[in-house]
Amino acid sequence: MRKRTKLLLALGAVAGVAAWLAVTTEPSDWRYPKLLLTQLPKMPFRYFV
Amino acid sequence: MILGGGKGIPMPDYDVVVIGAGVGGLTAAALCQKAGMKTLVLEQSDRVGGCCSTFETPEGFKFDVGASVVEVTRAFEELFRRLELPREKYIPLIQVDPIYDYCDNTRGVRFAYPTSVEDTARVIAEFSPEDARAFLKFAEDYAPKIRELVDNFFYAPSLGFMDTLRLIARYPGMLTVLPMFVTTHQKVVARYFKHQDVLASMAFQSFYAGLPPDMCAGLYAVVGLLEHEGIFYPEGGMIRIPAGIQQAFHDLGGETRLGARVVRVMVENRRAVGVELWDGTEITARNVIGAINAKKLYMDMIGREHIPWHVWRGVTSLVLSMPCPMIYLGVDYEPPLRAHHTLTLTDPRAMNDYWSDYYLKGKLYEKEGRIEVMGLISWASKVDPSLAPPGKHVLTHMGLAPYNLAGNDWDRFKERYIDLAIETVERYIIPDLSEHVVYRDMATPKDLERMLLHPGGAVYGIQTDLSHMAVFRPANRSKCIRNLYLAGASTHPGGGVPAVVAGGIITGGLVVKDNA
Repeated sequence: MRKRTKLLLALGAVAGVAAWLAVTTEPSDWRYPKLLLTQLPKMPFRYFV
Repeated sequence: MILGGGKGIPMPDYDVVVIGAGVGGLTAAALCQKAGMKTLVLEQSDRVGGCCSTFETPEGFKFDVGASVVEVTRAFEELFRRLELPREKYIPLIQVDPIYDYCDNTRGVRFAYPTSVEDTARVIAEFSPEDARAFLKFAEDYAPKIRELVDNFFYAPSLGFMDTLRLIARYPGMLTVLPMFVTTHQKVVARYFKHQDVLASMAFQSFYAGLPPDMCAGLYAVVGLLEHEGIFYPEGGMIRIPAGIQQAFHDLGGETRLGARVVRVMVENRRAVGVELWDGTEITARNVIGAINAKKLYMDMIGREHIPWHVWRGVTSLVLSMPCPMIYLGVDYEPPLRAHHTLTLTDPRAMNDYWSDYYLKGKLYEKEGRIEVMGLISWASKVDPSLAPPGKHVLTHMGLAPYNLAGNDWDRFKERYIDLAIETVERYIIPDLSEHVVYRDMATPKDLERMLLHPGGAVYGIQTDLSHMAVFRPANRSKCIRNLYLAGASTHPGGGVPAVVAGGIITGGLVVKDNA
């Protein structure tokens, strides 16, 4: 698989997680989504480690 | 230098060199040796096991360094099945029952959870019939799912999305468990239970992931159910586990060198070709397995010059797990405990507050104006009396504390921390503990870093949240350095002895497959 395809897949997965969080999270449980949201920009890079 | 043994090309010293004789490294090494690969394990300390080890004091007390019990023994069975050796001969295990005790003498609350799910429900029914019924439902809903998840997820490589798709294709039930990765421990538990003591008794598992209940993946709420399949302690202390795997490795012809500290992985053209020891000795190998913290491996032993910028960015972004300071106490009587493990101070609200108001600020937890030490007491000599001199016992306290103490230093604060932990245990569990302590010592987060080379004293390696799991956790086969593999708590599937064994099985399998 080409690196560009992999990166697109990684970004897609991250976007999917973000959408999932937005749909499933209740306002009272904000800390875990906040933790994940702060980590989201780092996840595509972690995919290559 | 190009290795391979072709015309004019030097033969490498070994097929596989493993850095670190922890449980993960030894597991991978044994599998490589079993496949006929000449394998060497290098360990910087004078004993095997890393966190899963045992040391003896001059007074004759034997203490476990970190890990204090094992569940999911199927990981060991799987390893020894692949080695075609009898597990019982190499790692004799004693079942521990009850699983753990929950105790708060200040409120007169005390109950222990037995292995049997039905018996545990009976224990809960004594103070909350509603939660007892909920516990049976909880076990019915999740026990089969978590068992199936572990059996599949634990042993499958997670090198990329294709592996995830393959896993889902082989195990469609994975889809029903996926929400557990996104929801929190607290939400899952609160969906079933209402009684404060039941919630508190189930909250501690979240810290195995290095996070409080409201920030920890929901998956960890159901991991506790695996303990109801039985938890076990190895005869002679936790070191028996790595020592048993090492013995199997040696019986297969493998070699271990203790006191051999690796300072560098030799890399040529983005290919691992061996390691360099602290004394300058170079050992060449076709494959290198780094069974140490992934951050340390990439940042200290390989270095920026061999790693593409995007991978380096991923490596530097990894968050270390929470350190667990260990206190070792020898006592001159049989302590009034009821189980191998006893929990202290695990109220979920306190644990949540602890994270944001104390841990992240470098402080210790305070309640009503005094410092209290959250944690878990392990009474290993209850199961195996040979760990202490006659009439005496060993207690180990695993706490939760920051690596950097605000306005203080662990080396100076060590003795005071032991005092505070003993005071906390006296208040909640053992009223006369301080009168019976005849030996005391501690491994602070800094000590664990120095002894075990775990950056930040992070015994669980990398934090375990969704952003550090599966394809986002350092891969068992390096994605940027050829012939480099990873094992241990910081790689997939994660920390904890059974998971590290499973990770070692994945890594060993990949090395064997790639070299077939």
